[in-house]
Amino acid sequence: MRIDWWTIGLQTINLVVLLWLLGRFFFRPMAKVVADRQAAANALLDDAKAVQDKAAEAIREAEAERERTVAAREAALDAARKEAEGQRAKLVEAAHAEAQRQRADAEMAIAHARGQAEAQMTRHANELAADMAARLLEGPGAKLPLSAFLPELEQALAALPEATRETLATSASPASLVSARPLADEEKNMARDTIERALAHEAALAFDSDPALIAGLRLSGGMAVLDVNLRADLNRVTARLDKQDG
Amino acid sequence: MKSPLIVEPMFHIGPVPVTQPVVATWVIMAVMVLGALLLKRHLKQRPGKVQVVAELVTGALDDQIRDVVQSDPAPYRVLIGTIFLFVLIANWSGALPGVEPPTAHLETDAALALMVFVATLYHGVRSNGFIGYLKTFAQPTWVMIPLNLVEQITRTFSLIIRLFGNVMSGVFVIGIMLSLAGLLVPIPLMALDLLTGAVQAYIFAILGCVFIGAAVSEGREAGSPERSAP
Repeated sequence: MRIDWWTIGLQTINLVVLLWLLGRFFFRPMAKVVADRQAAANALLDDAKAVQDKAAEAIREAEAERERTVAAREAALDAARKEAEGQRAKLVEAAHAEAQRQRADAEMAIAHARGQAEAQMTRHANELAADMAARLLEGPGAKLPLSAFLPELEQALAALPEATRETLATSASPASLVSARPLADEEKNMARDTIERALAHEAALAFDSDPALIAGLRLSGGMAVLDVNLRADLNRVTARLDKQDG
Repeated sequence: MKSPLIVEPMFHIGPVPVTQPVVATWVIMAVMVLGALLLKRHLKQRPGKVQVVAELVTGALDDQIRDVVQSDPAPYRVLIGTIFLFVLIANWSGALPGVEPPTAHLETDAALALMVFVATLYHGVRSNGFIGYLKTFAQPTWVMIPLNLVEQITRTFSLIIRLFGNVMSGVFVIGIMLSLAGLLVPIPLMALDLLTGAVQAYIFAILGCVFIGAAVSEGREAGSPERSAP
């Protein structure tokens, strides 16, 4: 065996040169590429992290905004609810007042109507009473003599104003003397004498009959109408009752 | 048959004899550098298939170095990577017809071991300082100084002999088989030789890494409070 020191030296030099060449052209460029890629990947990761953080921040802001919106919505709903309750209370109160007013009006209208109805019924009752009285008096009234009414007629004529008495039953303005039943001539003369005595002048009279008077006389002429009969008495009684009943 | 322990000069450059391992090394160097240049030219951020393989190899080397040295692999990457790739390609070059691997000769293995030896000293001194590195020879006690000194020599020789013995024996066996049997008979042995070559390249590189890592870490451990406390 023989060691070739020249070969050892040359191989050592060769390996040192190879070490330098591979280091320069292989390992360092490879390490640089890997490092650059790692740096790029780290940059991408950093960017992605930044985007992720930004997205998380946006999500947090959106969540906060949503919570604010929900709170505002709740507040608006509460305010609207309170306002609605207030308006409702006002409306109920107004409706209640309106109902009370309408009820009072209705009660008043009912009372008024009831009063009117009662008055109407009273009038009807009075009229009915008058009719009943008239019916009852038809028989006895027809038997009453004319002389029962002449004093009253004379007093009524005397109560008239002087000017009225002078123009009543004149030939220029004859008067109408209506009796409940047709008068006999004697009765007509008796009536004429009574009237002329009260008027103090000759009376121009036209005689007529009207059973509605029941009993008595009605002297009418010009502006004057003198009722001395039971119908007129019943009418006066009825009017007084109506006035009393309201 | 020519003895594998003897190298005859192929030609002379002045007084310097140039032997077959040197020429084979030049060829391997040329191939490796050309390949590196081609790869460097086509390096991209989005790697192609070749670049992926190259990055895989360098990544695996970094992982191995990091596991052994327990620190950043960058200061050791070029040395360990160059040794691994050169020994691998040199070992596999024996599969080519008429090519004798340079690592089948003691001189090439000695040069490789010499590089590891020098690198061990360099990184040991760089990490611990000159005195600090010398102190590592007195670990765990000064009685160990002669043994530690001898160890530096013997482990370097073991590197040489291990690689030389394995590669040379493979070449020698294939040569014997070729001379005794037919053309195709040594093919299984050649395949086995490829596997042996890869394993030897890995072993050489890792052992070099272990020696450097030991030189770096021994000083660190010797100065650490945990080690000095008891």
